[in-house]
Amino acid sequence: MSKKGAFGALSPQELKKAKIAYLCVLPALLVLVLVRAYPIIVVFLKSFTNWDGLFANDFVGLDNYKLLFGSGMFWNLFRNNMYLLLSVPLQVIIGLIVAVLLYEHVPGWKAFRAIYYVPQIISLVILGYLFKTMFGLEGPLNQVLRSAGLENLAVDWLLNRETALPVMVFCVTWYSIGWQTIVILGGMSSIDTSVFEAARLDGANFWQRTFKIVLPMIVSIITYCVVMAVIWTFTSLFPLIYSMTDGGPGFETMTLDYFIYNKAFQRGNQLGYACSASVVLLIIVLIITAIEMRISDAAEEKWG
Amino acid sequence: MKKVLSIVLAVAMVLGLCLVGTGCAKKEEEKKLTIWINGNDSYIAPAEQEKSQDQWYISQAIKRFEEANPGVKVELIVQADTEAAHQQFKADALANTAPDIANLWTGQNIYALEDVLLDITSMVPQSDKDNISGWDAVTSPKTGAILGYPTADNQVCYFLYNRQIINDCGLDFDNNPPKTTEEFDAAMQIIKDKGYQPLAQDEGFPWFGCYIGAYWWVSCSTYPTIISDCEGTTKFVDDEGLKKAYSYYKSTFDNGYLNADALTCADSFNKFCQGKVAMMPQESSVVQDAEAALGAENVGLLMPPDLPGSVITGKTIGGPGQCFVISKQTKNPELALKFVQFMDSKDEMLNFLKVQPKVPTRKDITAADLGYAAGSNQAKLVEMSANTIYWVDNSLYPSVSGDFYALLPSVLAGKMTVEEFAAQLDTDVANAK
Repeated sequence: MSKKGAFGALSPQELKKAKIAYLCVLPALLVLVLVRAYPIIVVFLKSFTNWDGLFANDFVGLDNYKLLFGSGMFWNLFRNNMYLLLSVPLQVIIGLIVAVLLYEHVPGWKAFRAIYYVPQIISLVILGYLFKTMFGLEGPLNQVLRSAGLENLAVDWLLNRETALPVMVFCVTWYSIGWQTIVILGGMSSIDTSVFEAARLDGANFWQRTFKIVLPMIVSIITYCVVMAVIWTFTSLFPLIYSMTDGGPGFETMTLDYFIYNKAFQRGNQLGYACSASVVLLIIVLIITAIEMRISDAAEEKWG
Repeated sequence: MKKVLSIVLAVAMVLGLCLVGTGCAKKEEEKKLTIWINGNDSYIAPAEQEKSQDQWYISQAIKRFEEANPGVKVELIVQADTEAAHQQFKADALANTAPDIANLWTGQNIYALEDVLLDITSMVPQSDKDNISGWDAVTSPKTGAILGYPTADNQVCYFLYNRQIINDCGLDFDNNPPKTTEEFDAAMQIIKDKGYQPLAQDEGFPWFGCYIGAYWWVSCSTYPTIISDCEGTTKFVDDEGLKKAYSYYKSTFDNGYLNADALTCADSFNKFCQGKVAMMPQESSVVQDAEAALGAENVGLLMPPDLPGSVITGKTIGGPGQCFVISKQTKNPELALKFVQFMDSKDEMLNFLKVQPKVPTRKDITAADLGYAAGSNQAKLVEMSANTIYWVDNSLYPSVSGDFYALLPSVLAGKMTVEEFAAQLDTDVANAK
């Protein structure tokens, strides 16, 4: 950088434009700092206290973090979170395939586009209750299994982590396909149709068109979809878990974001402890997002 | 023309000022109270929720209060998540946006909020202290301050049973109820052998563990032990009553007496009302709905049987599980108290009990006043209310109550032993220190 700084190389006219641009961005930036940065700073500071939501607010050093990691609770929650991340590749790949099918105008594509998006407009709480009923011990799935003579497979799906988490992955994937499809479809609209026509003429089949033509051309869109899906899985599954298992039995199906709610608002008044879990969650999301961005940059360099 | 316009403008200005003045005066006269009501099991009955809000009992009561107090406006806010309402109240109190009055759970739930609740000790008249029961449940053990008024519903826990199924199994709970857990097991085995589901509950939240399991615990250990466990003076792992009570609780699941989907289902009461279940651990709020579904003649109430070696026998869990508290921040403490006292007045409690026939907290309301026929379930509830021990889970310290609720279902599911459960509660006590 020159001695004159970042603006040194700009002409007076460009400098004026840049200043105007900064002024335009400033109000939004201030709002963002106020509603995002300030709470994050407060949460970070409170994570070193025994804050109970009222007046207990003593500095306890790293005690909350020691409790979180030392009790084994964090690893239990983190494992659940990581398990639920399995839905991300599923929803992105299925979303991509559906998007290509819709893009190629398969018969009835308009109806399919609407149908795939329907889960997105249903409240996650309602979906949670629907899936809870569907996978209940006496639910429709088990009735089908029993009538098919598969009595041994008719279990209480939500009772154990081993079966409850795959059910949740299925539910999240089913819910998210529509969103992924619409976003990828939006990205695909920027691809010149002649590319597809040429591929067809060259004899590329559906899978080749999807993975060798579409995928490399929309790497940035796919990155966006993956990053958003990961963040969403870490921070927004609360209503689904609330209505399906309430994180239980015990903490079997609880995730980090649900644990924060549990400790802060639901059972107990350990807001300082909940703040420490929030800080850890934020760091995890930042790390995973950074890794994904790196991978995406490398992919874009290779195919983009 | 200019003159006319000037006159019109001047008149408009004067009129405007007058109107604004009148409005301000009106606003000054009007006093507003905001009240949170628990949306689950208090003043809003399940049947009422199917009606429009203005038809609910609580809306009608508010209307009566407003009519009796001109210039007062009461705003009703329904708290759907009662459990979270306590923390929400705390957060709102810090943000200076707490309601004037809140309907919360009693005991430790409000003691933890003492710093933001109005101490009404000196404001409670002796007549209320004499005529309303449950003051212990709203009096801080630390400071002795009265923090609220018990609400109208004096809850009682019991096993709700389907008389038709019980009789079909050759049992007679009316004249020969099981008094001990051995007898209870024998009865449940007979019911099971007959092809019925003996017990059912949505135990994802440990209702059975709180309604009846906690009775078994306190009947073996007694309150001083439980409190000293919470304080860390003694240990939960050494509390034989706790282990005995919740081992028996778990055995009901292991033996197939409690519904196999207890930990994940949400429709046990529906199944009971459909006549598919013989018994349900319950509290007094649901009797009316059960009678409406099965017919009053087919619904019976059974006191919990006693574990061998119990120190306390023949009792059950109950008492006013809910209360009205007043925020310290309220601008109208006297008016807020007036509203609470209005809700707990004899006339208003009678109005409430017409909508939800429950056990009143007022001692000057008898079963006869309420028109409960002798031998009816409602009359029986009133009788049973004399034999209650205050809610154990409401008495657990906040440091342990979270894991008590969260981990008890794990004990039932066999994910952890009762000893591990007790050890975790001890860890919670140690961490809180």
